[in-house]
Amino acid sequence: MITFENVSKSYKGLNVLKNINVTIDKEEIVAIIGPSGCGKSTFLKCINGLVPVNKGKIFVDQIDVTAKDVDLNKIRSEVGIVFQQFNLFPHLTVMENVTLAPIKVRKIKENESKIQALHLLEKVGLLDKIDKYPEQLSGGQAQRVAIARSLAMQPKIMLFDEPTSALDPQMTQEVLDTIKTLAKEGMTMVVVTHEMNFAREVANRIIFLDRGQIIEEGSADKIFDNPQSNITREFLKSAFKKELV
Amino acid sequence: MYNFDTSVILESIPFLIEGIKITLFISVISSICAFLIGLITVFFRTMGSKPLKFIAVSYVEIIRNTPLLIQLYFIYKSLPAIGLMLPPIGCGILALSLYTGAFISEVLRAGINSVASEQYQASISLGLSKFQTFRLVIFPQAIRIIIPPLGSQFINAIKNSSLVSFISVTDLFYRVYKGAVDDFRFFEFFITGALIYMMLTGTVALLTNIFENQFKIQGRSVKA
Repeated sequence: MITFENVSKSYKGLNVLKNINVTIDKEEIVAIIGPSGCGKSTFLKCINGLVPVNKGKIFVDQIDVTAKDVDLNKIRSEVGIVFQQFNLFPHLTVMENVTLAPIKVRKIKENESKIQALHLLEKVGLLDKIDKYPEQLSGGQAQRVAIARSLAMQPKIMLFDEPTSALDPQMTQEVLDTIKTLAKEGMTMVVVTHEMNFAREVANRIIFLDRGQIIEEGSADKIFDNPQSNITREFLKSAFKKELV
Repeated sequence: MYNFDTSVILESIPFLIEGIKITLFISVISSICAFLIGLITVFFRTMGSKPLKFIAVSYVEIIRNTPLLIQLYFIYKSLPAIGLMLPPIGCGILALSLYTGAFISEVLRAGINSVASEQYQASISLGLSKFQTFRLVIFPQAIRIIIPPLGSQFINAIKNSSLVSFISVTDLFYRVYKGAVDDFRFFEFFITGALIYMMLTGTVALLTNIFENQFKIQGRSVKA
């Protein structure tokens, strides 16, 4: 579903991603973990072409997103992304936020897209908020609307860029629960997260990134219980310490 | 003591009203054209390819940094040389549109830059094209910030339209000046002229306030 071939990316001489090779299969749920500034978000944003790479190729559903003549709009309509800061459109209601792209990009009729939006908003538990504006929502609610907005495009892949980092613990839980529901439904997902317990519970595979390189990858049990690398061990120790506090 | 003679003004009312019509005609058409020019150039500048960006920047900087009067004469005197015959009022509208458009382009750019880049990312990530993103996401948010400075540009357009009298358009200023000179009543005519301009610009200021309230984002006043 997603393949990275020798992907490198640098910003102003700083190597953010170094020669990344990885394949993510259909219906796989991959959690990307690693210290701040390790390139996790960049990795994620390369997948839908938000960040152009310097070297290498990325294939999404067999299409090379790094090709010059690629139709990025089309790829982006198949790949949903949820951001740390929600990035809802503040001038539109919850309903309008969710129906905008289906109507304008997929050319679905307004009525149909509203019905679909109602289903999605019910799924994320926000049916009562359809006429509210984003600034009238709590962070957790806003993030769930953002998830519904992405799902409305019926994407084949969902990307999550630290979806709970801007939320307090209670709201974090409601967002994580929503993501778990998606996981059960067989959505292909790549999740950048600091929530180690969540990663362990949901992900089929964990990728540990440090300084732009994949240090280690494997099943949750392998990474968490039997990390091979010292860097991974150190990182996990401090990450779990934080979570206990 | 100066003897303020209102009768000369009263007699000239129909004469001045004709001028108001011309001034309004020029200002309204130019403002609309200027707004469109501003929109197109700011789209080129913020989301266009390099050549388009270059065209937009050159236009804004050349127009913004040269006097309107020079542009006005340039269009009036040089267009016929390349075979383009426009009536003076057409030259006036063209010059005023181009001039105001450059300033509106800058106002729009400031507004667009004030919309967080995350909004752009979120929008294109949903598969919306650059143009759709501009039209449906960025611009509707920017317009709310832009309305007051945009109103000022429309006000400037009304006042700047007085320069068309230099190329023989018989607008409000032309008639005020003519009345003053003919009757030798400078004080009366210039005060009346200033008041009429104030009425026109004041209306724009009022409309600006109304629009500003109308475009408020709901919920923003609650939390912000």
